[in-house]
Amino acid sequence: MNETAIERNGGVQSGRPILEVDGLVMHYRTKAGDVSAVEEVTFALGRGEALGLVGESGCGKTSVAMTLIRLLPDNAIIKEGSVVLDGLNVAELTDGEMRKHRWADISMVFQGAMNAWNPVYKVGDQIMEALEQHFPDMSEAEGRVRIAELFELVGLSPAMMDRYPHEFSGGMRQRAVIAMALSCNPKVIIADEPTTALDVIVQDQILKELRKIQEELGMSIIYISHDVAVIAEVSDRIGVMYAGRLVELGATDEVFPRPRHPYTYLLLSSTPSVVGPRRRLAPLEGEPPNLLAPPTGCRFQPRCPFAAEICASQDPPSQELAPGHHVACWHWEQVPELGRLEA
Amino acid sequence: MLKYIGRRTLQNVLIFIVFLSATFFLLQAQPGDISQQFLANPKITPEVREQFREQLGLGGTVGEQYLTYMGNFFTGNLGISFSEYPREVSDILAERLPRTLALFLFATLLSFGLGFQSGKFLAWRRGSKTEPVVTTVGVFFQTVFYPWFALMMIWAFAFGLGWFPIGKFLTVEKWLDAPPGVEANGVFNRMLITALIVLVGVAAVEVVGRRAGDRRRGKRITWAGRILLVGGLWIWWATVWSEQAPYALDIAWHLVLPTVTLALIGFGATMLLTRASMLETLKEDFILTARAKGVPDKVIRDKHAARNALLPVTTSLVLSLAFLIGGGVVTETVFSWPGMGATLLSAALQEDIPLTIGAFAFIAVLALIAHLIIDIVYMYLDPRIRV
Ligand SMILES: Nc1ncnc2c1ncn2[C@@H]1O[C@H](COP(=O)(O)OP(=O)(O)OP(=O)(O)O)[C@@H](O)[C@H]1O
Ligand SMILES: [Mg+2]
Repeated sequence: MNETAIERNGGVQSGRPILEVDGLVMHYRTKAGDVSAVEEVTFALGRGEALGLVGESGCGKTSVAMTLIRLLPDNAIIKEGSVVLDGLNVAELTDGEMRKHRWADISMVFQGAMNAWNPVYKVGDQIMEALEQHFPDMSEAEGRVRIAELFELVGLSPAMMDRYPHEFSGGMRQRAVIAMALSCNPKVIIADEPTTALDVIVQDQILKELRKIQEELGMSIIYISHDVAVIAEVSDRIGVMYAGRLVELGATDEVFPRPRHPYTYLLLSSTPSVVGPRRRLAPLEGEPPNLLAPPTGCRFQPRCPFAAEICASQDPPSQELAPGHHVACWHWEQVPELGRLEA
Repeated sequence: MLKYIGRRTLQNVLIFIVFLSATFFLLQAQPGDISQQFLANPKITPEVREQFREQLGLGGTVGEQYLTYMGNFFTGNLGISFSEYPREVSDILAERLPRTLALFLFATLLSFGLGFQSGKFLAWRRGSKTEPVVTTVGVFFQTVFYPWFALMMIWAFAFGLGWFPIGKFLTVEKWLDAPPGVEANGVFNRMLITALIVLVGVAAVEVVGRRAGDRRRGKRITWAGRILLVGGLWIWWATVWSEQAPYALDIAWHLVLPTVTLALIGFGATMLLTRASMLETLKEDFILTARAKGVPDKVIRDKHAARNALLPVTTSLVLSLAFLIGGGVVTETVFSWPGMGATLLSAALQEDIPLTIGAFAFIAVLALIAHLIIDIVYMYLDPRIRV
């Protein structure tokens, strides 16, 4: 298990990866049946590496993140697989044990982090709460010094720590959320759509700063976004999710110029050029499937321009095309270069 | 903040003036001359009636009468009660106001505390077996016909079990040989002042503790303050007011059942509202953040969820004031608790107009002050509206 995980790390970093996810399957129990939100997801995150997860809305990005940090709702069940965080299998810990590791080892910037602040407490006090939890010996004065440093790191005036969340603008709140996520020196940060609620300029600034901080502090980060442009800018490697599955995984500078999975191809074609030359835009038609009853065989098959008989009957296995570049598609050879598909 | 309180106070004074004027014109619409009431009472001679007409300016036009009425009111000249002739209305009210204040204050605190705590646990342990039972109890208290409920309480706890006296303010036999310095109103006012000192003191100590800077030191300050406060008052009653203490206990014993009864009607609504508000709050993103930070469940429940769920529940207190006052009148009457509510009802039934107006006006003042206090508390609780 570990062997494969290290291999799939794409050789970006040597040494044992900080996070190894292997064969993860997570379902939500609902009255209408099981929602297969995470299906056979395998990847590894190297130390100091930035991995991007992209995919349309509802394809299970947040579900993967919540499984990693073990913050799932009551109806969620981890059916199979392991999540090994720095040698520790997170999927097997009890809630009480997991509580000690959250934030200290793995922290998260949530989707819609604008509302991440409790409106009745000062922002600084809410960060202090995390510090008190994980560093019980830290005095209040030391804590304040730490928060001031964090605020400076994310470009906020330290005086703001004694203000209430409503006194912050959206961008400032987001910066403060990042400061809070950094507060306990986690090994891994998951940033789930950290900037979607912000305007493009602020979004860009914050992403660049986050990337800089992550490189400086040598942390590992998982960026989650439905926006390919954002992912391209900030990640070393990229994982493309479709309907609960990781359909393509590889180094950003390999996948972007030359996607191998039809879904990645269409996703990139439908977005204005991020890297490389200008190209024709092709729309991505149709809707992602209902995960209560996903299609048989390949889940992308109903929308896939290359679909053949085998696609509907058999699930394509993940193949390693080049070191660290994995694709789960029967017909990956047929995927043309970007901009070459006739509409 | 002070500016806000000042503005709200001014607003309340204006509301009160409108209220008084409305009362005046309502009375104008009544037929007859109010000085011609209680004709059978031999103590109220025609001279008294004439003096009364003069004082009320009944000879003048409506406009003049209105000005006299307002002038009298704001100079504290509320006239003489006919039904309790020859007592001054202001004297009667000064005696009864503290009694109503105590009843309302304790009942509100009890129903709020009980309702909030149980609503909190109900939402937190959602889906437990006790939930339908407790919810049904809540709906029962919210919808029960209150006078019947009050009578049932007397029947069960005073008549049946004999734990509490059947109504009244004190046990007359016990007070017959009371020492000269001990007098019912004096004892009661001392009790009320003690209770108010505890309330304000506890709140003040809490605020001081929070501002201490260091959390652990703050906790110590808070606890030391509470112990000093309660211990000090205890010693004061045991020494300086030791003569009054047993009589105070007698009044307190009479106060328990009406307070609990009045508290129970408010309890159901508070509990159900807290439960709903708490369930909403638990869905908020900041709860998820707190969980992600590794904060223990109990802290998430109390410090994050309940603290925010408190806001709408506090607002609802304003709306429940009207029910509380209605319930208060019924409680005082059923339990023969001689407060403002019972006074208002009996004065109105006997057409003792001056006393009715006086009682009515002071109940309104109580309600407006309660409203103002809730506003201030809310402002303290919600930093978003602090100015
Ligand atoms: N608590 C839940 N119970 C049942 N189904 C759920 C639950 N949470 C999410 N789902 C379903 O699981 C699937 C994956 O959802 P998820 O939130 O992980 O997607 P996402 O990729 O993060 O989407 P988005 O870009 O909109 O955030 C969706 O089909 C969603 O409807
Ligand atoms: Mg999501």
